[in-house]
Amino acid sequence: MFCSAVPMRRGVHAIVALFACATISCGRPAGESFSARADYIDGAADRHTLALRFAPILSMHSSEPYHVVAVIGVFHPLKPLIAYHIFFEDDAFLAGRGKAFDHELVWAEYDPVTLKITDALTLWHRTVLRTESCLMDAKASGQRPNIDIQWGQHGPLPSGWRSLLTARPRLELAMHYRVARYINRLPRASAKKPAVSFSGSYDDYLTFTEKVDAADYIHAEDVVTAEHSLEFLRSRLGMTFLPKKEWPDW
Amino acid sequence: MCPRSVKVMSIKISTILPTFLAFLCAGEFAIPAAAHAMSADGAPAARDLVLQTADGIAIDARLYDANNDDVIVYCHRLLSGTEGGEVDFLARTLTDRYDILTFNFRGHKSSFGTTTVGGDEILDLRAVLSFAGLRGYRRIIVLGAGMGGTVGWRTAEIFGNMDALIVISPSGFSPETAPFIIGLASNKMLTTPLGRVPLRIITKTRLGLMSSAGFPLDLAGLPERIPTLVIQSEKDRFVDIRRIRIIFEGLGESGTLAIVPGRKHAEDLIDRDTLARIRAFLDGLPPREEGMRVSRRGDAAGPIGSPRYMSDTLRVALAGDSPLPESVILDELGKRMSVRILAGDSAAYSPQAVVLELRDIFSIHGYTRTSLAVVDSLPPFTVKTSTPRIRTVSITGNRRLPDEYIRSVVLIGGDYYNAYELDRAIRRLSSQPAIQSVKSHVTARDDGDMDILLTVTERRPYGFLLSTKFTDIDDFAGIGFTWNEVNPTALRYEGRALIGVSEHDFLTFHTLAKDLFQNTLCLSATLFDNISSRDDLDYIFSRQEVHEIGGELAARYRLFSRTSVTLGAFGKKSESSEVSLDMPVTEGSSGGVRCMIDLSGSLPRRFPRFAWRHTFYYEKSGPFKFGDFFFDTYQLNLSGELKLSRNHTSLTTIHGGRQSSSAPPQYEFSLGGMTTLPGYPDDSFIGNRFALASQALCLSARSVASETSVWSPLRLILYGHAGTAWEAAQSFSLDNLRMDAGFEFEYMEILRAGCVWPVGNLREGSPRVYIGWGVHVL
Repeated sequence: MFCSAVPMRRGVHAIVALFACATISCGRPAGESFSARADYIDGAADRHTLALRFAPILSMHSSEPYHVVAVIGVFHPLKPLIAYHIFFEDDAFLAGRGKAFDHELVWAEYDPVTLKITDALTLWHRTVLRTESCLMDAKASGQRPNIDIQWGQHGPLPSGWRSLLTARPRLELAMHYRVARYINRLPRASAKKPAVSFSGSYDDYLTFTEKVDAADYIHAEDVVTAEHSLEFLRSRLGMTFLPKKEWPDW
Repeated sequence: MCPRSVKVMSIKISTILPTFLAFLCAGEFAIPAAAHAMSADGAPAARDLVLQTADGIAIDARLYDANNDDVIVYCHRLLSGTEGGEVDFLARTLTDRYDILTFNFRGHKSSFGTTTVGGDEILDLRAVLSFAGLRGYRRIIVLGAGMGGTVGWRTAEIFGNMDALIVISPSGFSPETAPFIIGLASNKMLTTPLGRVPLRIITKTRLGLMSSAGFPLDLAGLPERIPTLVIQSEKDRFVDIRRIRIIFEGLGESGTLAIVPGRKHAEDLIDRDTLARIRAFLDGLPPREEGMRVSRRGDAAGPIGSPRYMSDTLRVALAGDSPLPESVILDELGKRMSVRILAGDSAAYSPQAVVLELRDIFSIHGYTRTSLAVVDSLPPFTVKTSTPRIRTVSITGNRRLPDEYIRSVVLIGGDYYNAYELDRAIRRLSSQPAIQSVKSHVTARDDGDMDILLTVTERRPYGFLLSTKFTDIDDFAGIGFTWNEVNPTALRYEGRALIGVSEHDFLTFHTLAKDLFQNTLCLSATLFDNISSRDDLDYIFSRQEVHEIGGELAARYRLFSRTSVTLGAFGKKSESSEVSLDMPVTEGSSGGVRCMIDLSGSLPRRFPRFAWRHTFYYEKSGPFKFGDFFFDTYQLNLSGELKLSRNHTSLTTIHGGRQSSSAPPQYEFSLGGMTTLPGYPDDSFIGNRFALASQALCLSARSVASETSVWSPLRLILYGHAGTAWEAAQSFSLDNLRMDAGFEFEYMEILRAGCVWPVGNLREGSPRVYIGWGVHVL
């Protein structure tokens, strides 16, 4: 217990410095890849098979103006987590900005033992959303999450998002709807891409009936394991999209 | 004191230090040899292996390979490892007929990860069983002692894939299996952070966070298909033998219970007599009736786990509803078949043998109740699979916790029944603070589907932590307590207290909070008396030396994921029974409103990792003529954390604040002490204006030491502060800045010790030494 002043001498300084040097100069380097030198890796299933198994079902609006172009599955190197990078032809709000594809993200976390889905998350306009009902629905329907895709902007909403009470997405969706109705009156950056606008009611705006299976777009060469996948994505699609956060905890 | 001690004590430190460092380098950080020569007493050569579990943990294993057809997988007890004497004993005595395969559980010794005390360790054994299976052993026998026995037991129940199970003193560290005192002590040592430091240093065992794990509470489901021998001493201190007897009363002939006299536990029971029992048990094992596997280990050279061939005659078609992708099943079947032949029909592979392997494949994924039937027995075989689904999940026993809350934790139902998934769900639920224990009961319907009944036993949830604070210059020694309580309705209470040992002064914070509509409502209060050491964490804190009682009601609204606004009202009363000249207090009551905006964020990943958190704080006292004091307070806090590398970080903070000049003395800012300018005593600088900046460099030993090293949690923090407080009538001047610089060693965020010096032209006093122990050091 230190209840009185401790004389600080040179010897003590030297011991502390030596101890610190010994602490930080000995030992094996951390971060060594043990997968590389493992004699046996348990539960290593084929990545393409897993990417197809947990691929989301996209529920889109019946009057959605843009189609899905590509879906790339990216496995996290350390966690049982798959990022589905979904690319659409364009974004209604940002058409003509010079980037051809609209880039959206859905994550599926799975159990490597049971090969069941354990969580489903989406990146909705820079906010990560998850709902319990989306997960339970996925478990009941072949381990595949059902994701609602917002008209024009393609913001992915996990099924059951209506139970979320935060400002995002609930309040902001109404604002998006207002903009979507009058977007064709806004000045456009490019005349090559005519503006599209939404003409239905707000309830109609939130009705997603067209099913698109993301697995149909995932080929074996579209699956990769990487923490940073931007280079791979650009090698597949070129510089045609805006990069987004790659993992939910970034 | 004996002469030998005198001699030891007289050795100079210059002699000890190099020896100590040499010991560190030679022992702690030595990389184990890949293989060991045959020992003089006849044990076969050992081969060290690294296996990666399904959840990505690298564990160290050791194989005593005597080229036998059968293997015994030995699972050590808690806090032990492959270096135990019993492993050598088994290797010397059993390798005439069995290879010995042993391993360090996760978090133990040189295996990576953190231990969950028998929870996730089943994945370690699963990896070892898979590895042994792919080496082509004819029979795989699991032998576990203590926690290893419990893990073996649960693995047999959840994953199968073993031919026999031998359990010695299965300790579960639960109130049901351990005597009260032992269970309580073990639980507190293993479940609270207090035990993590000594266990890490002394036993090289890394305890994980119990919130992500749980304990194997229910050992009652002894696997029926697997022959089991349980060896238990009569007066085991760690295991309640009555519990073991009760378990065995419900078993048929699949289990054998051997009670031996004495008090020995776990590996201490492994001696010549036990060995004789084990040999007798193994000799009496019935052979597999169909599809007996025959080892072809002599031919099984080459990399393990890669299918070398799959006979054209082995064409299997799957029919029915399968919980696993067909390609996964056939891939694993190919791997298994490539290292084995099956007796009876080694040329064409009998369909029964294929079914046997398929059953093991489904079991290793937790689908233990999948039934298989051969539809077409001519190649290609058609095997129809049928896996029961979970129809309903019922919850009983809960009085306070609502069903919805429990369902949101377990998250099962709607799909195929899986024993591993159910086990994880139960452990997840068991680790909730309001849950004492959970038991499951699975009932099969007529159509084969399952109904699950979860019986929940609730408890009063609380968390209690202890910390200490010692500083030398102001002669303060204090003990800190933290108390966390969660009401079943999710009403949270957090209390923090710092009590001075010598002067009996105290400082306490109390917060009552509840989340509503994804926002937080909170009511907080502060009580203190004559506190000598202040911890004004937010710098807006009364500095009076006598009594304060009051409360605050605040609501935090999360606008976006990283932006929130807190609105609140406060009221308090200040009394002044003792007033010292340097600590004036103005009596009276005050009330007001507060607002805080909290912003946080980080740069995109492609930039250097920089995360920030900024808060803007505004307090207005006395609106509507409430209270005796009227003043405004503004405060801005900016903080940023820059990742210099994978393990090193740089922390920068800037704070500033001002008050209207009419604020009474007790509401003025005070700087100094452990949380602001540690180089100066508490309340060194007082005024209604303040500015403070700090910079810290956190260097982690993890960058150079292995994760499994005892030293890896050690951090060296180099820091400096500069700040001052002044009155409104004065003006800010850099000449008035007080500065300090120091260093701190931190171990596992529990143990802290540091020294800090006042520096600059205005330095006052002498270096301060401080030490703290506990999860938080107030």
